[in-house]
Amino acid sequence: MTLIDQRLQQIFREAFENDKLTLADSMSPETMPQWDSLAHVKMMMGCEEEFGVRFTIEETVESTSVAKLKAVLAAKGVWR
Amino acid sequence: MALISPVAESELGDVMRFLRTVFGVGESHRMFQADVLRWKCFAPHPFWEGSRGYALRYRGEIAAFGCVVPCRFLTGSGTVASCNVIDWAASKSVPGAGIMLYRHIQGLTGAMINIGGTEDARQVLPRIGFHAGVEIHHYTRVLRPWRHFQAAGRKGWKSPLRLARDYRELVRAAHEAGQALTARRVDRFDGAAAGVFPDPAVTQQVVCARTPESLNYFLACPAAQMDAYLLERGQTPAGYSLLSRLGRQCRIADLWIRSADPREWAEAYAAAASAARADPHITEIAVAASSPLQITAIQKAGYRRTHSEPVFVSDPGSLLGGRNDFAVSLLENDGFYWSGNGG
Repeated sequence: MTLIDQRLQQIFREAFENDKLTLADSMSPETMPQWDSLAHVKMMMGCEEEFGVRFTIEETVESTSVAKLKAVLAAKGVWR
Repeated sequence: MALISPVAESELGDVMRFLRTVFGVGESHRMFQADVLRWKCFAPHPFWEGSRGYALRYRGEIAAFGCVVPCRFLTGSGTVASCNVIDWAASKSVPGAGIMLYRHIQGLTGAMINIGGTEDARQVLPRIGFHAGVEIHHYTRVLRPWRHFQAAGRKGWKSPLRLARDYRELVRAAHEAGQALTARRVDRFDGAAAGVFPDPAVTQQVVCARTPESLNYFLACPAAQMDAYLLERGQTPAGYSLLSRLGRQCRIADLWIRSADPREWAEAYAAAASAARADPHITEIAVAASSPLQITAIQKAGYRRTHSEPVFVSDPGSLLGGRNDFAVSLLENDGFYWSGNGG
């Protein structure tokens, strides 16, 4: 797991209030019942704070899986 | 494609359907009926130009909605444009839509307040720059104890004790009430002397600006019976109050007098209670306040605290100068006409 993976995993653990969560690209609201609006907002804001980025409306509503979120972060130069 | 824009009056039907779906209420729910929503979003307001309803549309459908309640803070050293958002709702199928819309509205004014809010909102607001400022405290006073007792749905062993307490409070308040201030009902606030409206120099607080036009806007609220009063000492105007009536309850939507003396404020709240009691259907009066001057006066006038809510403040430009002594009332959100069962 890369350092950025670890930072993202920590963001997810805080957003989902689960210290044992292990990050996987396949995670999405469909595979995680706990992925509700509040968790999504916490996760996106956690990313903004941690990586110093600002998401657009489009990016916020489209980041509905770990894979999609990573793609958005990559486009912002966070994920290399 | 996601887009945030003010809603047009022609989109009112879409907004109504969206709000009813998100809040899980039917067409009979008064808060989301066409005339009420039209007033909230489109009736001319002197502190806001154009539509006050904002929607985030995603793939052509409304995914989030919020209605702005404009407010102007008078700090004593300047005027700060601000607002609150009511009817904030978002579709669960578009995560993040609600907060993106909220952030957009946050950027429209210098400062922003949020009163109360759900547990979820209270978790999120600090992350987008809000801090918990003052608390707004809610109070009630029973004006007709026996009818209030009779009308209470469920009665327990405490009910007779409450009845006795309400009678005792009524007698005490009658003894303590001065006769110096009277409430005179007026049709509108047009022509009211400028001296009757909030002035931060008088109370040394951050107050919300009121004008005849802004109070007349609230007076036109279709979700409650609204009445305007001028508070007078003899023939001299000293302040005003705006009362709303829903069923058996009267609410002091707003009240201000030109004084920093809690005893005179207590007289003003007592005068509002007397005005409310003139309506034989009213059994209880409610009020809310956030500042020590008003809170002291309300308690002195015999009102009993029911609950409190936090007032969150966002002020990225420090326009309020770190002040935390806001005097807000039920007018700053929908508290003066809101009814949980739809009215």
